[in-house]
Amino acid sequence: MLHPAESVRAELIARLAALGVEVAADWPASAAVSKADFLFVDVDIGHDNQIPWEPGTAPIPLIGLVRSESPGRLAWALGQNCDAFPSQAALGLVYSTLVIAAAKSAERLCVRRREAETARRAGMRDVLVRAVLAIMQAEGVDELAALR
Amino acid sequence: MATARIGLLFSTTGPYSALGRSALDGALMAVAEVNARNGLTLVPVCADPRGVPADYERLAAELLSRGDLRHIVGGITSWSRKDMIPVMERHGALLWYPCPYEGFECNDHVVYLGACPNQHLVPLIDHVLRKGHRRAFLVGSNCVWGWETLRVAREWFAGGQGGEVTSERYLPLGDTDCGHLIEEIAAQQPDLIVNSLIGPSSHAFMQALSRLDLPGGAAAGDQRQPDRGRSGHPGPCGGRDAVDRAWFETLDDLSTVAFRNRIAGHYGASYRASCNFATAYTAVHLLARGLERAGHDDPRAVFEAVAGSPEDTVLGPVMIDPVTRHTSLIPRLAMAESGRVRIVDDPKIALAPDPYLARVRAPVPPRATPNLKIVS
Repeated sequence: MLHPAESVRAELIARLAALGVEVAADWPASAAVSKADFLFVDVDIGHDNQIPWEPGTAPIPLIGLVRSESPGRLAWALGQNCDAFPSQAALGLVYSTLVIAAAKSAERLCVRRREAETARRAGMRDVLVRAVLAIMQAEGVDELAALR
Repeated sequence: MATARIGLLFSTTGPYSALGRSALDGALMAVAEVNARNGLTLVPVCADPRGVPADYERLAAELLSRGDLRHIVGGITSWSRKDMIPVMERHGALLWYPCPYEGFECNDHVVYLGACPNQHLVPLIDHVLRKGHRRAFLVGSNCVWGWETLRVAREWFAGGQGGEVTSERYLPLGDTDCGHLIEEIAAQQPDLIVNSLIGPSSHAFMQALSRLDLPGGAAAGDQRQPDRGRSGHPGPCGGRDAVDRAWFETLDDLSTVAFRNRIAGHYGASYRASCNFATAYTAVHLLARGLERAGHDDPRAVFEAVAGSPEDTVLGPVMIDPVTRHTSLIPRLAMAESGRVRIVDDPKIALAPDPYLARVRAPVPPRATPNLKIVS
């Protein structure tokens, strides 16, 4: 958890302890981020350099704790593709936050894998065209039969 | 402190009145015992929501509105507890909830005295699996208790344990028309029935089930019935009804014998005390200890005064976990036989609460078998 307020860190640590989740909480940086299964980050003053991946490509569920609702900060959190945006005043709902963030993150990662696969296939269209032509010539069939 | 007003909010009329009456009896007996010690005087203020969900919120607000009452012992259903929580939060009050429930909750304004699934359902399912039962029919009341306990049952039973769930069915709360369930059970011939029905639904279902000849069958669950709620009916599966509770009046340890004698002195020798009786009784005694130790009724101070240290109670040595606010309890397993309850396992050691099932080994879901076929 990356959050500057000691009180918020303490409350989240206590609430997650009830769920059997261990928390390493620090600010502005923590070595534990690279080993974490979830990352909570303060939306108000969080910034890209604190997070060890390209904005929007979190490999784990990313949870933005909303504080002041500044539009620019919300835009930053959206750019990071946060999987849940609980208010830091409502940490009692942290269980549903984890459930939602885990599901959304899994969905996001699945879409990303599918997009990568689609891009890989699109990048191999020339190979496909050559294969179809070769099969048409070798087998004496039309292009649909060769493609099949 | 000399005197404390406490709220006792149980439905002693309405659809699940037997459960509420039993819990209220336990609470009132504890109040009488505390007051007889000539130290702290508890002034109980009773209210009966009659099983009407909206009345829990209204009556809790009424009890707390005068500002001289900050602790309520009460609630049977999870619906009622969830309705009272916002009121407790607004008034900075504390709810002492004495019933087994489905878990997945941990509110700052509640002390959970009843068992959560790792203390009632998981040991029960492990037991029936060890006994070789594999095909389970799940039935529950259409409420959060029914949905969530059967979800845990389904995941635990079917999740890598070699079990199979033949059906999962729900009855509206209070409904006693269960002919269609019995027909389905007769057709499927499961070797286990997991019952999460509440009150009259459970009673009607177990009666109907007892008329069905289910040769390999066994029933499990029914955690919310009064222990003798079947009016002396033999178990539907000929003594193969397993129940898991934090307390049974038929326990034979010295503490329970003494407690039974006190109950007989208070309510008469024929009075039958349920697990809810004992947990509501324990709730009031722990609340009284907290009030005495804190010296005032500030809910946070009272909670901190009783949480985190072992407490000797009629349930055995228990401890309220300051983190989860749930209580460690001894998961006792019994078989219901001819209207009597025979204890088959009394582990003596309290099991720590795990309301989010985060610490017990999670069942591994069965690996999906590849569905391949060769076409020519």
